[in-house]
Amino acid sequence: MTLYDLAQQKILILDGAMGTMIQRHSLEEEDFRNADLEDHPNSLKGNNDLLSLTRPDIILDIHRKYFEAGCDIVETNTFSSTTIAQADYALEHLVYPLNFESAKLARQAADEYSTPDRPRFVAGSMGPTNRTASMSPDVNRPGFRAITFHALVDAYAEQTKGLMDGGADILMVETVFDTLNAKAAVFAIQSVFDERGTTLPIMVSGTITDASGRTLSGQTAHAFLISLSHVPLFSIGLNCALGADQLMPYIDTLSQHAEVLISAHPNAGLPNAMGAYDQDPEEFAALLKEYFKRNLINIARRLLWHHARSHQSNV
Amino acid sequence: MSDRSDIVLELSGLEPLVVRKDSNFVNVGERTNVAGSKKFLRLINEGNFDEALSIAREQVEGGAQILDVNMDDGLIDGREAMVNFLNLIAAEPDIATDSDHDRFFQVGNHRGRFTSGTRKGGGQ
Repeated sequence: MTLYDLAQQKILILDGAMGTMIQRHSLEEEDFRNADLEDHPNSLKGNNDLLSLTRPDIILDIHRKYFEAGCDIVETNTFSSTTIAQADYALEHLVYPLNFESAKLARQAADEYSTPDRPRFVAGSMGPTNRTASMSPDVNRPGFRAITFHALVDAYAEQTKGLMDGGADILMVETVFDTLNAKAAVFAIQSVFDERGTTLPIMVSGTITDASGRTLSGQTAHAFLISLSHVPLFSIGLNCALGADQLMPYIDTLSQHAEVLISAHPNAGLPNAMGAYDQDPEEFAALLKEYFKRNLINIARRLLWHHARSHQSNV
Repeated sequence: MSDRSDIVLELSGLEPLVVRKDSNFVNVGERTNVAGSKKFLRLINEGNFDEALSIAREQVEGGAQILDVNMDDGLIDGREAMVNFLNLIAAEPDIATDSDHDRFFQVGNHRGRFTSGTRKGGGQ
């Protein structure tokens, strides 16, 4: 059964956040190092993508937990695995292995849980990088850009190759706050497809930053959709930044205008002052139910809560 | 999904511009075109991007829904002028283009011709 078949039958469940699951382990600098990185001059703690190489046991376990909880798709631990994002740690040279090994870990977990009737899938996560191609970081030079489209294309192409070689089923351009970055990502993906004479489904997920209903680069949800409609997408959606109730009107807009599947990956409410999420599973489930009732989405997000009862609140 | 059968064109700046079969005329601003405006050509040649930008703004304020930006002139480095000008436009919420310029360069063989969707009042 293919991803497309499954999407016709049910609402696909995507895994929740990787970061909060990693935070449950009290990791130290040595967890982010292996033999090759023993003498690396930069501090590496907090570079969570690196754990795919240094603590693959943790990452594999998180993937398994999400499949165990009923997810159809897990995302690779590669949100920041581009040369641009890894430059902060002087680890640009590890970008290919990061993507390759991360995809392999998720692939391994997916294969363990797949059955002929219920295949499980791996989405290669491609984050926005820490630079923005359509905004100037310098208020005095509005025409200046810290990154170009072409530099982003090169970085995303390398990430795409690692993810594909490691066994990703889907490529997921996510947390899009600047649509031009996302365009560079899908351009890179399509270039690699052309080069290899093959394709994979592409998911794109943007981020609406606040109640203004716009992305950080200023687009409305509808404008964001149109800006990416030149690409044959598997799905388009919105993730993070907002809880399920605040996200709904914008998902509604996408649902009205898009010709592709719709995904929603809300947070468990808004983070509190400590950066934690207070919403409990029942509340989150009730909010998601509203999406299902209104037939707004095809792909939803599964979150895992600390306490045991989360397993009963199967959204 | 709403009915899309009567849509003839969809563009986006910060906000969508959807042209339907029964839509009224769409206003295209042509003054930001070096082939169509001697003043714009002169400003670009002089490197006076601030004033060139004010032409774009006037066009939008005058009702242009789309700007035709063209830097295709033998005496201009079209690519550099285009990137510079569009970056400046993108920084103006009241003009605000589709952020697609680099891709157009890919497609357009770096000829420096580009038509951009714009909407007024993008930054509200």
